Amino acid sequence: MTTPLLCIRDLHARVADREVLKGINLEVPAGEVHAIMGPNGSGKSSLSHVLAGKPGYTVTRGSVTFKGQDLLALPPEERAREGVFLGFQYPVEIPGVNNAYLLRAALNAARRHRNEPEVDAFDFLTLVKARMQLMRMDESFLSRGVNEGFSGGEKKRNEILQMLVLEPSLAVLDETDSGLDIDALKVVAAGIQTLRSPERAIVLVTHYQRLLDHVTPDRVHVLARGRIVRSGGPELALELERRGYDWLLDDAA
Amino acid sequence: MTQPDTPVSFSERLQRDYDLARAQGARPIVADSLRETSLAKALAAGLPALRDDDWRYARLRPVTAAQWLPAATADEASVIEPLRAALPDALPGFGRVVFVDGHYCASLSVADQSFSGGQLRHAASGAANTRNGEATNALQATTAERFAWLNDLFATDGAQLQVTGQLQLELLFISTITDTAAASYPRLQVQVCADSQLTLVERHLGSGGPTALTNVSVQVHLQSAARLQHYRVQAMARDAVFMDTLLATLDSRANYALTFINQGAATARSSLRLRLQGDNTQLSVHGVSLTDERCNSDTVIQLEHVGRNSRSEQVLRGVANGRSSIGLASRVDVAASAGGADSRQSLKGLIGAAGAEVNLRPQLEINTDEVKASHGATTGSLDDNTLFYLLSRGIDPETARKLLEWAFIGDVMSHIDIAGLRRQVELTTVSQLGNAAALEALL
Repeated sequence: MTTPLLCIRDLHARVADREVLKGINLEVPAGEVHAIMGPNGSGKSSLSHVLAGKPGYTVTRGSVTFKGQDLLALPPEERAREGVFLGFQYPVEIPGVNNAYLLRAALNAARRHRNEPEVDAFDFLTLVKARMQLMRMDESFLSRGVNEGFSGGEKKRNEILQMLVLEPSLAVLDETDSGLDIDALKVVAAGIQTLRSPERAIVLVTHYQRLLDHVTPDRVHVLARGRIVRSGGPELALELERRGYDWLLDDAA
Repeated sequence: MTQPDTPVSFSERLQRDYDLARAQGARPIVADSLRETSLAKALAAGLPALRDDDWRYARLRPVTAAQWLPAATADEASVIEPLRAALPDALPGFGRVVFVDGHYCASLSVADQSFSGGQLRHAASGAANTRNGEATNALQATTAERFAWLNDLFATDGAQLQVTGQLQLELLFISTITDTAAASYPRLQVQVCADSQLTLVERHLGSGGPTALTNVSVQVHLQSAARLQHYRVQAMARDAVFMDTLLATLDSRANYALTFINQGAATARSSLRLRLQGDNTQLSVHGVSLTDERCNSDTVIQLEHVGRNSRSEQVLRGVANGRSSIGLASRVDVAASAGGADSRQSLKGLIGAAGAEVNLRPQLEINTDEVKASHGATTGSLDDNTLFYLLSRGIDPETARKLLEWAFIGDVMSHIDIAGLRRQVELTTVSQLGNAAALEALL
């Protein structure tokens, strides 16, 4: 049996005095898409944040192994360079730093980390423009400030664009589908499908089934009260859509 | 000139230096009557005290420790000629006039002194030098401008610019004073006549030293419907002591866009007094102070809406690193006569390091009902969430911080409309922020 790309064992984490993760166990092999679903406050975003290394969370027990190495030992920027990408639920606006600069700086940081030469301006623009076309984004966006004045949908598209440019081994997308209209949802879903490959894994954190209509997951996990209380195939998401989460909450108590 | 062995009072010292300057035979360029008035005001006012609100965040000790007597003309061969290679690149379309240690420098100036759009004279050439006549006389003297009085007493030269058409001009004030104790008194009087237009770049550069004071006095008068785009860049050496007073008066329908960048000197203080005298005037002030190490930069703006339907907008930003401190104060007074005034003020400070300090003081005093006014002030360190966003994209923490500091001042930098100047200022800024290589790709 091959080692999974991501392996989470008995993960406990706190933010301030509150325990938000209470023993997560999860394995995500390369090539698979896993959906993490669950009610509000169940710990979905916390799990995403802990994987990306967001300050403020303290891991009190357990381990996270990524490509066989201890992910929790790495600072956030090194996790990113190793190939972990977090798609933010609420992408921040950074007026004064344009999208092109951020994308290129991020791409080159990862390339330097892999001892690859930095990408030159021409190749970079060729790559980004192709990805932007896929995401149906206007080229003028490159010279705009990062997420500055973007609508909610544009911000989410931008997250997926960054993901497509950086080509991470593991993408954790935190409620990337929230706030999207149907057309935008399809564009975002197409972007996610583009990244799908035997070498990569994708973790979709979501409330709803609707993204999963467009990106069929290999596995679905239900997170409640800081634990995974049920795992199954894509049919589990459909069942949740029908029955809600209440029937699972007793298991989590 | 050596410091006296026994301490003397401010008034004793001022009187003594004033007499010494006269005795040294320096030909005064300021009319006797004005100098006597300024001396009397300065003696009466004394040096600022820290309990004075307008001076609370200024660092005054270096000013008193510095020499006040004016520097002599710099030697052409040994001082001025080597400067040539160090000057910033010329700005296309701009005439350039250079003053070195407060003296007009013909060999470095590349502008003819009479332009199609106006005329520049320097006071030492024999032009009478008073203040800007009625316009600035209308400003009741306040002690915030006391260092302008010292400039009146000791200035050795001064640029007088009268604009009667359209003009683009760069004025470089360079200090070369390093190992001698002496002061430099840059002095500039600008009058933009009715319906005329000036783009003015005013830069203060060069060395300083803990005993060398640079004390600037600038007066601006915009006649009716005159327009002035004024860029002020203070990029003195890191040990310089820099004092600065700017007084501006706007007649009806005049439009004044002031952008300032304070990024040098160990100790810097700017006192700006801006008076919207006429009806339908417009003023915008976009300013940035950047400090690091143990530097102090203090800016105090007093803005007076007097005429009707005047508009003002102020965007002030401060980024303090190291153990430095920044003061940014702006007081807006809307007079009873200033119905229809519209005044906006935004002050933001970014504390880039644990030992740094930013003090913002917005003030608004309104004496009429018919007015729109808004003001806001926030100081803090970088937003953790934004920083994490950059880290999560693989950017290293130091670059991420500098990137966000850069972004923080973006809404001021974007107001530099002269491409060449903007490039030069941005390069100096990224180098000051550190991590220049990573940030230069931004430009």
